[in-house]
Amino acid sequence: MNNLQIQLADNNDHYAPGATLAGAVHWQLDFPQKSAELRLLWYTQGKGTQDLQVIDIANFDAPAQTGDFEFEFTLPQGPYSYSGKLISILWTLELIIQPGSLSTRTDFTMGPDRNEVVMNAMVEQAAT
Amino acid sequence: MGGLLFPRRLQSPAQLTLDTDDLYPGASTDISYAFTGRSDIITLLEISLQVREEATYTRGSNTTTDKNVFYKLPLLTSTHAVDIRRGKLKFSIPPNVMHSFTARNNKIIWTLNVHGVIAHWPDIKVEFRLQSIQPRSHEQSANPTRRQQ
Repeated sequence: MNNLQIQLADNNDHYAPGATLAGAVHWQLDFPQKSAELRLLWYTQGKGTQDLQVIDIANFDAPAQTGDFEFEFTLPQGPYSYSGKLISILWTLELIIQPGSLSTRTDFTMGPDRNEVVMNAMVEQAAT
Repeated sequence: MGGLLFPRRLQSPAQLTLDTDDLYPGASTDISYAFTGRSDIITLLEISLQVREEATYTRGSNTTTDKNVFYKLPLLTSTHAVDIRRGKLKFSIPPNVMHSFTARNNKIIWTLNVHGVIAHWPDIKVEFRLQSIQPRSHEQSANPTRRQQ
């Protein structure tokens, strides 16, 4: 049974722009792996066709059926995590193992005060 | 350092000038506005700061863009000719709001909107797009790094 895990440091999934995002990945496979990489990316959800941008990739080169690695990224300034009526912007870490394109994801939030920007909150601000 | 904003309709009689191009959530700036031509026929002038989402999608052979204005901050409402012809305003971008965002199919766009009412004639409606409201700058580097063991 294949097992892939992404663990964020201190189980923290809320970050400020520019902050350090650290953690560890673990996998246990039924077959030898050829490559493993961890992608830092944002993507959109909502009514529009999905947009996605990979910001950085950490490659784990040791070819072993079992792996334990630590990682560390410095987050960019944007885009903020965002939830609106038509668009949402989400940040995630995606671990991809080849062959077989096995993958797992862990979402996290990045924004001012470590929170996502929510459209309804902005409307309230405009009304005050 | 300032910026002259260009309306989407180039023949617009309205002109807006910002005192700075460095705009981000929490920033403040002065904006100057002026009308060319017969501004005296404008009976009501409204200027507002707006933010909208734009989502583009394809269904079959049709490509559609939906728009949703989710933030509107009135900056000026005046019926006085002296205030309508030209003036200066100060406005602040609220903190902790969404910055500009431009991707292929999804966008968040900040605009300044001018609405002038003229008796017995179509209203003047001009949109000035703010080129970019940037995320606030933080002390740490924006360059991604990685460490592995």
